[in-house]
Amino acid sequence: MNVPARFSETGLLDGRVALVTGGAAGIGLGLTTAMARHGATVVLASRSAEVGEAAAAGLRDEGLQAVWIRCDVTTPEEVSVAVTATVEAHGRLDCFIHNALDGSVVGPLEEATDEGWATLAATSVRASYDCARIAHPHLQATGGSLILLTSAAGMEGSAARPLYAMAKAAQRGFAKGLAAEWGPDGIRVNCIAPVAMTPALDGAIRRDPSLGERLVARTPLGRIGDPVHDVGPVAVFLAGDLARHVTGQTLVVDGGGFRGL
Amino acid sequence: MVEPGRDPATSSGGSPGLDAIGPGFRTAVGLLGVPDLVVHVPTVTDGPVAITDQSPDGWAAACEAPMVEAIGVARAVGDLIGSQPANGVARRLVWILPTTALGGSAGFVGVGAAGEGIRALAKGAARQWGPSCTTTVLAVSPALLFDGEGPSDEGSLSPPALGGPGDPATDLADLVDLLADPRSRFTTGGTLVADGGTWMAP
Repeated sequence: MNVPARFSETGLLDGRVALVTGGAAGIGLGLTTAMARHGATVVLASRSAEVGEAAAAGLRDEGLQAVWIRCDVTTPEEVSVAVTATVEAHGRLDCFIHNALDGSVVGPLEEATDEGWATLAATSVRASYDCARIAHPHLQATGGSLILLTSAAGMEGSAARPLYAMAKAAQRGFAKGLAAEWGPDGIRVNCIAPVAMTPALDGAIRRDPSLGERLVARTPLGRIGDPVHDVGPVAVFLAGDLARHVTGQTLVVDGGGFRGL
Repeated sequence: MVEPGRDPATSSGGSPGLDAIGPGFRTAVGLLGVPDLVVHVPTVTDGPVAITDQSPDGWAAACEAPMVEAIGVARAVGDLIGSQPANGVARRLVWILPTTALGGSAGFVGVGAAGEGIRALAKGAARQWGPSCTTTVLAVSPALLFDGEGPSDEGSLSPPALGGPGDPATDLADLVDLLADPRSRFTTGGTLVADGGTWMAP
């Protein structure tokens, strides 16, 4: 199946500034790449300087506007520093995307531990709360938007990763309530629920080739999505004026595998 | 019926941890025998509180503590399933949540987030446990769960089709009886909306 090598630049996000947590790798890098190619200045907020600087440099090599800044979303002070630095350097914040997650907790419910849940909750529900509060005044100033990365697992439930699904569902519930709360402030809040070929998924498929076959088999569009070309444009849409009357929604970007909404 | 969600220790903002439910649950099982039905009513915190005004402790009480409670309940039930096979007797775990979990509500962001999380937990438990224990979420009018000011039924422009939020002692109890009946054994993981016909999901 032919997939376009890249989208042409549209200028949909010209003059806009977007900060993406976990924006230097995987799905997050897909979001930042697509948004930058459509005109945004992107801030890749992540923990690893080595990975983040390299990713930002790669985007700049394309002639795009991209910088990396250190940000551990489990530390609200670091989120605050990242947001403040972004606004000081670029004058505004139009879109905050919370994508980062430590979602390594797997296994049945009976094996759930306080430590495992705490790690997952810190980067999902608690980080959503912290990021939202810190970004609020800046998003209100620009009439911007908050986007959370969630998962179809949060809507379907998962026997293999029940706590991951729970955390992702909670983020979706967070977005719905916050959309109602922040609508009067002119801030839109939405979710993206992607399935795409990231290094993590590629690794999982290498370990279990049947996983890739099962994923493709349940996908009407017949392939696993690409972070830049399939998921990224949805963030471009949600962050831009074309979606100015869209809030409280979840866009599932998985080739049609989940159709339950 | 087990209703551990009203422990004041969980509403102060601090989470008691996943093990808080287990000992009490096991004691109840020891005294009363293995239950065919467990009903959990997660803590809800009154409001409204804007997220920008909500303290970290307030957020923990509204969102994180109810999810920890729910995981603790699920884990306790899961342990029971593992230790005492049902031997053909239907078992069900029911969570009762406000419909705020479905549509979200301004001022109650944490409540809605926890509710959606618990709905996903119910689905995951259903997929994991299969016929050993079925699960259901009952989504009810917020008016039945909040002691103080709760979310309005703003999810619909229309009043409840059946005229009101319902009576827990009759309307909801009958539904729970229905879910406890073995004839309900083929439904699991779903959300049953019992709010008198306000929220009608697409």
